[in-house]
Amino acid sequence: MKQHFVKTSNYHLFLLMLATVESQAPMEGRSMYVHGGPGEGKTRTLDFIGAQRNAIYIEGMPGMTVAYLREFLAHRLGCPGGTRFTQEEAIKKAFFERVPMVIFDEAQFGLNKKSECLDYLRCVCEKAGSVLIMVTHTSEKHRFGEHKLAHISTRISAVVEFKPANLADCVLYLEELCEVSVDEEIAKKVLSQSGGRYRLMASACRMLEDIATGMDKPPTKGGPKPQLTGAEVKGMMLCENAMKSLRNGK
Amino acid sequence: MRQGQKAPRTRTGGLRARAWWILRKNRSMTLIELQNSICDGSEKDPIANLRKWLTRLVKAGVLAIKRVDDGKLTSNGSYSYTVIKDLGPQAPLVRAKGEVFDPNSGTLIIPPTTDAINRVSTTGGTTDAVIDRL
Repeated sequence: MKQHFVKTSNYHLFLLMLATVESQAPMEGRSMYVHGGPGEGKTRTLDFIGAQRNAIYIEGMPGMTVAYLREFLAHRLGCPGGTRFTQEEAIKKAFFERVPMVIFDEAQFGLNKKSECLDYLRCVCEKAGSVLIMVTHTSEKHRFGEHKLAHISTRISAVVEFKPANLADCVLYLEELCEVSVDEEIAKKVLSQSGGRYRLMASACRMLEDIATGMDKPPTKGGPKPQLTGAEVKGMMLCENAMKSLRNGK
Repeated sequence: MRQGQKAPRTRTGGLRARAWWILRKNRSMTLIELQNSICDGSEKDPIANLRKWLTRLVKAGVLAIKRVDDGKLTSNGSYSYTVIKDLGPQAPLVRAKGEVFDPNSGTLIIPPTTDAINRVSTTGGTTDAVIDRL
């Protein structure tokens, strides 16, 4: 199986929204909110974009405070140490120079203590014109819509929902990463068995390669991809969706 | 300096800069995980490029290397690279002579002596032994 990032529909949607926010949103409204279910590519996509843009990545954690956030930003920007004031000034200076994108993963942990962490980040980003991206699981989405968070939510210019893969995404994923060439029937089977989750699709890729090897059609480096058809994998389980099994009590 | 080059390199971009960003974020990663996160398939032999850079950083004492056993009898497993010296937001760069330059502080990184190298006791042996095998 090949190993690289696949530009799926979620990625393209995210890029489109990001471009809109960067070009059209006012300084005080350069915030985005990203949500989605597990295995739908949030972290992978944000890692890819964050690395390209040299963003500041903050991972939210229970009990995080403004003091921690300030220390963290100073460390990330390469200006640690000093008093609180000097640190604050160094952070502001670095933000004005670099205008970095800020990715706040697990942003629900920034909502503690009247959302002081989110407020702090918002202030820092707003002044420099940086884009702030808040990422959470879909189950946390309602918390950002509460009335007491209106000062944050009214500044969010784009909401991106990461969805499970569709058939086109699944075909693209298998085409780019799987060392075996598959037909649409197999792609549909992978999609239904994985529930559109990319990490399960990766398991299916490996399984398809093992099946091809077992049929004396091993993938060769640099050579043409061996072909597999739907009939050849009929009745086979290509990936195990544990969520489905657990729900069914099996 | 290479022939035709006017000044020694002081900054890097592209694949290695992205790899540094993700390494700082996750602290420890294997080469495959790095490739999965930052490559989009358009790069020419990213594994060789990254391995060369990572090995130099290990030698300079910026990263530590550890063999990760994958449990297969005939497999060598893989290596995970851990950041032990977080130099700053800009990626360290390897110059033609094998020197490692830190653009954050503007200094050359002097490799630690053999005794000071962070030895990682694994089934694969010490950091030195692993570097030699690479």
